[in-house]
This record gives sequence, structure tokens and C-alpha cells, in this order.
Amino acid sequence: MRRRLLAVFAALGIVAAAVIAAFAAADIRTDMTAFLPPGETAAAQFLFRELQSGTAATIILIGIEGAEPEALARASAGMAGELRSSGLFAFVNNGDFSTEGSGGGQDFLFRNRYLLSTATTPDAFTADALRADLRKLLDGLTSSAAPLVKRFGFADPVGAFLQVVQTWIGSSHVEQRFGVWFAPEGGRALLIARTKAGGLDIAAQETVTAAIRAAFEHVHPGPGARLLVSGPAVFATEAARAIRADTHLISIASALLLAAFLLWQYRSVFVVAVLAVPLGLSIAAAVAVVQFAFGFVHGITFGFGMTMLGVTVDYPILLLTLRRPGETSGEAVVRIWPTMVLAAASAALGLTGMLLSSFPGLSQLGLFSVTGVLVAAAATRWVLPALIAAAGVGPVERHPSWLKRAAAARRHPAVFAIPVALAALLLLWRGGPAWESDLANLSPVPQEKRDLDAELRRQIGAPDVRHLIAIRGDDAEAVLRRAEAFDPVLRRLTEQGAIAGAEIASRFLPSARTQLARRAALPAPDELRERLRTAGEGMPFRNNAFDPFVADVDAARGMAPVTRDDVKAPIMAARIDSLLFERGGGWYGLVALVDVKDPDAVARAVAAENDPALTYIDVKAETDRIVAASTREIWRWLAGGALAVVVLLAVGLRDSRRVLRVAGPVAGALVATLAILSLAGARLTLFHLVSLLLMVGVSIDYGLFFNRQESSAADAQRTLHSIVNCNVATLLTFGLLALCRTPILRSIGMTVATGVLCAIVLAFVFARPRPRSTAAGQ
Amino acid sequence: MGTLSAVKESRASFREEKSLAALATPLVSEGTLLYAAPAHLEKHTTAPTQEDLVVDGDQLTIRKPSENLNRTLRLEQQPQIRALVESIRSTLAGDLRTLRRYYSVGLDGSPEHWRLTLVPLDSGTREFLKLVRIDGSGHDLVGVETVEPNGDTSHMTIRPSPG
Repeated sequence: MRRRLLAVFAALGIVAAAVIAAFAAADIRTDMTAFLPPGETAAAQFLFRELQSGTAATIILIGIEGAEPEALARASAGMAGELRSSGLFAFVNNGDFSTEGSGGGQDFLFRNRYLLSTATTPDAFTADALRADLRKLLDGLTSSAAPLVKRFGFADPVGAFLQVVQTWIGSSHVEQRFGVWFAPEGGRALLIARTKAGGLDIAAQETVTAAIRAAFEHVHPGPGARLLVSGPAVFATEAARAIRADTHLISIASALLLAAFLLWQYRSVFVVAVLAVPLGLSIAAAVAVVQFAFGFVHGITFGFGMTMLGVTVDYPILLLTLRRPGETSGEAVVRIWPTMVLAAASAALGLTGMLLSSFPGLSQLGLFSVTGVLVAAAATRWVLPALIAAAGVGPVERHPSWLKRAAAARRHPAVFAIPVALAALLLLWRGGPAWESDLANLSPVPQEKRDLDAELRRQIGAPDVRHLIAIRGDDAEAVLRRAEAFDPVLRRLTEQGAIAGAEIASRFLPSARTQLARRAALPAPDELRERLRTAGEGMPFRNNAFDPFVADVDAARGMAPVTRDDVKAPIMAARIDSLLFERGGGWYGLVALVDVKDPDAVARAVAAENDPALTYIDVKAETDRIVAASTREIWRWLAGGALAVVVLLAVGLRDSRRVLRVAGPVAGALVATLAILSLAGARLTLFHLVSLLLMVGVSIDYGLFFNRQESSAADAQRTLHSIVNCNVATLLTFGLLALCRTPILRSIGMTVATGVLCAIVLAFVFARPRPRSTAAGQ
Repeated sequence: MGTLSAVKESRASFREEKSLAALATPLVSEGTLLYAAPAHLEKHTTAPTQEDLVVDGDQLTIRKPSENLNRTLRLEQQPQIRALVESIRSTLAGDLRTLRRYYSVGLDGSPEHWRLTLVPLDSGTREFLKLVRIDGSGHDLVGVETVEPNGDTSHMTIRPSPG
């Protein structure tokens, strides 16, 4: 006995080692992008990736509210200072564009103002234009603002510098209060930052989020003050955290519940150890196969995989419960194997549809499930009997008394057909189940947080992450020239109200051609001095008043055009890099659109350019299209899988009425589940479909075993008991998923739990176990 | 200074003449002043262009209808503007302590004709402000003169209004 137990624990130890090794070798990822399909066209794929993992994904929006504006402004300045010195950010901008706030950028812009500013035109340097400028200067000098006016007025009466600064600060409607950005109502200070780490680098983004919270604690502007942090990276981090918390909870809770249930049913501590072997083997194999095939295992696959326990545990449970008194476990497994192999094969066949999907996440789930099911069945056949014998687990002797009474339900199967018919009618009347095409609703980030993100984005004038225009060129200059030509279209769209604004690289860094044209517009010193003299007639300016201006214009006439490499201030370099960059040998300019109100107008305007260098992408529309295509595909696989399962059953059972008795209740359960989900107001996603596939795989077992040949009433009892136990095991695991925060896991849980409940009832009442002729025997 | 701190509110009209090195003739502006103890100051320029400057506590608001300008600053963030504001406000409030935070303070003359000479302590402020001279008679200010390092000066003559 002792030695046999030792063997059980040795087997358990080997399996545990296999599971640990499989998980250690697996690269578990939690970002949603790994789960979602890529775009259809090359351009869409590029932009999709750029939006998800590029610079747009590293933008973090910060709001501080709940205190007096002055206190908020102080907090904003304090936080910006601390975050800038943390080294985690490419830039932190709170609206303070002083030389210190811009990291020396202001001096750079002042030096290069005549090449960078749109104010540099030949017209701006005519005597007439200068005359208007001088009048304005005089007015400024008379006013209280004289100390400020004096600072740049004599060196730059044409206002080139102010124009450049204005471009950089943004045409956005952000209010400036106490030197920093405020939301229009004035109750919220705003900051925008870009992390150095990639938006999908979850570990690094968690550090960033912690740094922001710490900075807020240090400057805490008062007891009621709140910190708001948002952005794609923040969402990714939160989603990852939610998925991680869910999977931890689910794996522990479902394992515990299942163990408790098995202990109660089989009255042996060893039974849990024995059952853990096929389960462990199936999970280790599934993780290893997915890792091998995909190079990583997604957190959702993993969380879902833990619930595979609830499916794969069916086979060992069937063996344990169906074993007759006096029969060895080896004999029992041989007896039930034909039915079990048919059950496992149909389940695997049904799930193959998922495996072949072009949706990487679904494909993983499919591979995981198919592997899990097949390995669990094989382990039940070839490993489990020896372990059961070694552990000395006996057959189940007692069956709950209510199981005997349950057979009465079979007398009136029509009673159970009525709700199914009603469910079918309901579905028909509602025009089929409602579909969810918005992938955003699958995110574990709650709607209110996404609303807050949209609000902060609008207030701060940060670009929309949904709409984007890309400009492609052979080099940076080509992209900038194309951008300059396209800019008037953007201004027109802004005037029309189709967009609230746009950011385009050429506004910050004009093309060399444009800069050279500006340089050519600058008059020679003597000429400029003469024009200033004419312009200033009748005004009290002395002859040498504008010497700094003349000198700076003359210096600009000898300057080389500013290039990206000349921009050293981090805040400015980061801004340009997000709008103009090289990828794979080509140069790209991104036009970031702010608050897009009329996407069609933008799409039309881009189409009207009729230029392959320009691409407009509506990320949401693109995603919706991908999801719709994947959904159509899944439907095809679902139908194909169903057909294959029916064919398999027909071959395996060789009796069309039995095929109907096995497959019919499953179809009925499908209809009932869809109707219940519809009544619950659920909108179907891809993941519901997947769950339905899984539920079909599980419930085929029920029909197959209920319709087996039974040689005695006791056997029939055992069958019912075993199927009920299988069902409870599935409910214990999938039922738990319904409590998850991650919508994907939740929808899988709800669907499978509802489905298997309907399936067991229907499979039972419609089953007609064939009385066995006494001659046949196994 | 004690007599000044007794004043709770005062109104006056002003005429300001700025002489700039870059200009051949001075720039002249006129308007009214309002002071309410301890920290409220208004300067309304009526000619040649309307402009309203209001200082209240730590907040400075400048409005210029002709340019659609309406800006608010926090004085704490603008130490140089703060120094200028305090030269007048703290003098009116009789707040010698605040004055001494920004300037070295010299006082000459009699209670009937006194002169306060303020030299900025902060080097940043000294870059654009050499000194401020404030002339007074009793608890009224009659003149404020600022001198900048480049020789630019501004001279404001103040005439108290009754009430």
C-alpha cells in the first residue's frame, strides 16, 4: 500500500514538474494587442501597430482637480518638475513654456525665428507692414506690459518669435492660468507627458504610473484633491492588472472548489491527487504546445486554460463514477473507452474551428482546448487506471436518491421541448442575437475611465487616438513638403468644424525648401534699415532703436535650414519625433487629429488629394471591419465544425436516431443559451461564439453517455451520477469565470455555464438508453 | 509708514511719462488709480489706449479691450513683476517688512515731503530695474519714478481724488 501510494505521489510530482516547466518556459503576455488580429492591408497594419505601440500609445494625460486654482497650479508646476527629473519621460508639458519649462527650447526658437516662423514673408518686411508693427510696438510700450514688450519688441517687431511660440504652445483652447494649463472650467490643471518606455511595456508603464502617483503625493494640493491619469499605456497596464488578478483568482478558486467537490463525492483524499495527474498533464501539454506554436501564451488563454480543468476533468470523473462494483479501473476504462473516444474526438473537432481562425487569440484558445481535451482523454485511458488502482480508490457505491426520481422527467420530453421552441421563437422575433462589434467593450477598463480619457484629451487638445492621417515619403524633406502642401486642407477642415485641430510636423519643422524661401525673403541690412526709417516716420523711434532686429535678420540670412537634429530641447524633439519618423527605410509623417467630429469629411478630403502617399485611417472602423470579418469566419468554422461533428457521430454511432438524440439536445441548448443571453441584454462577441463551441464540446459527452447501451438500472444510475458530476465540475469552473472583471473571461463563463445547464437537462430527457442484449458483453 | 497703513481706500488720477533710450520723445499715458487695503490695487489707463490692470492678492489681471487681451498671472511665479507691484502696494499699505523683502529701502525728507528710494535686492530684478523713487506728502503718494539699467525711465505723477 505504502509503495503504491509512493507511486501515486511520484506520478503527481512528475506532473507538477511538467506543469511548472511548461509555465516557466511560457512567455505569458497580457497586452490586448497580442490577442487581436492585425489589420488587413499593409498600410492599415502599419498604422494599427503605430497607434497601439508607437508614440501615440506612450502619451499620458494627467489632470489635477479638487482644490483652489492657485493650489492646483502650484501642484502642476511641482509635479512637472519632479516628473521631468525622474528620467522616465521624453517630455512633461504643463503649459509652462518659459525657457526653463521648455528645456532651453525657447532660446532655440528665438535664434531660428525667421526660418521657422510663418510670419517670415516678403510682405512682412515691406515699409507698410513694418509701419503697422511699429505702431503696435509703440502702443505696447505705453501700456503696463511695457517690460514684457521691451523684451522682444526691438529685436523682433514683426512678431516672428511670438508666432513660433504660439505654434508650439498650441492653438488648442487650453486655458492658461497662473502660468499652466487649465481645463475650460478652471477647476482642473492639465499636464501631458510622453513616456520613454513603449506603451505596451507593462512593467515599465507600472513604474511610470507609480512615479506619477508619488509626484502627486509630494505636491498634494489639499485634502480634496484628486489625481486623474489616463492614456493608452495606463489602460494597457490596468487591463493587464485586471487580467492577472482574474487569472490568479480563477485558477486558485476553481482548483479549490473542484478539489472540495471531488473530496465530497469520492470520499478519498487520494482521488484529488489521482485526478490532478490527467489535469496537470493536459494543462502542461496545452501550455507547451501553444508556446511552441505561437512563441507566447496570452494571459487570457492562460486564464481560460485554467478553466479547461472543468472540461478535461470530465473524463476522469466518468471513469471513476461509471466503474461498477467489483470491476477494476482497467476493465472499466476499456468498457467506456469507445464512447469516451467519440466524445473527445467530437469535442476536439468542434474546437478545431477556433484553432484555424485568423484571430491570434482565438487560435491560441482553440489550440489550447484541443490539446487539453485530447491529452486528458489519453491520460484517462492509459495513465489513470493504474493510478486509481495504486491509490486504492474504489468504485462509487452510493448514488443520491433524487437521481432515481429524475428518470420520471423522461416520460414527458415534450414539456422540455416547449421552452426550447419558445427560445427559438424569441430569437426569431428579435432577429437573431445582438452583436457587439466594438472591441473597446471587451476591454477590462470601465466605460467611465474611457469617458474620462476622451474628456481629458479634448480639454488638453491632445490628438485623438482613433483617427490618423499618414504621409509617406522617401526622406524627411519629402514628407515635410507633402505635409506643407496638405496643411491648408487641415486648416479648412478645422474651419469647417470637421476637426478641432491638427498637429502636423511641418508646422514645427518646415521643409528645407520653405526655410530657404523664407531666408530669401529677408532684406539686406541696409535695405531693412532704410525701410524701418520710412516705416517709423512720425514715430519717436531713434535711428538705432532696431539695431538688434537688423542684426538678427542679417544673421538669419546666413543660417542653414534647421533640421530635426538641430532640435535639442527634449520637449520639442519628442514632439517632432512623434510626428515625423523613419520606419523600415521609409519616412512617415503622422497627422494627429484633435476631436474629430466628422470623420467622413476627413476621409473625403484625403481621398480628394488622390495621392498614394497619403492614407487616412479610422482605427475603430478598421478594427470593426477586422472583427466583422473574423466573426464571419468563425461562423463558417462553427457551421463546418458542427457538420464534421455530426458526420463523426454518424460514423461512430451508425444510427441516425441516436445521432439526433445526441446532437439534438446540444442544438436545443445552443438555442436556449442564445435566447437567455439575449434576454440578459448581452451583445454577442467573438468570445461568446468560442464559448458556444466549448459548450458544444462539453455537452456532446452528455448525449453520448446518456444514450449508451445500459445493461442494468444500476448502470443507468451510474451514468446519470457521472454526468451530473461532470456538469457540476464544469459549472464550478466556468461559473467562476462569470465573476471576472475581464469582459472576455466573463462572457466565456456566463455562456458556458448557461449552456451546459441547458444541455444536461435536454440531453437527459431526450436520451433513450438502449437496453443491452444479454449476449453482448464487455 | 505708520500714517500710510491707516489708509483703507484711496483714489487718484495719474499721468505717466516714459522716456526710453530707443525713443526720441517720451510716451505719455493717463488714467486713474484705486487702492483698497491691504492688497488690492487697480490701474485704469484711459488714454491713449484703454487698459485695466488689477492686482488682488497674488493675482494680477491685465485687460486690454483693443487687443482682446485678458490675462491672469500669479505674482509668485513672476518675481520681477511682483517686485514692481510691491514697490507701490506695500508702500501704500505701509508694509515695510514686505518692502524690505524686495528692496533695500532708504527714506529722506519730512512727513510733508518724503522720498522713498528702493533698490532691488534680487539680481534678476536688477537686470531690468535699477531703482524706484516714491515721493509722498503725508499719507498720499504724489510721484513714482522708475529707472532701468539702460537709462529708460518712467515718471508717474499722482493727484489724489477727493473721497
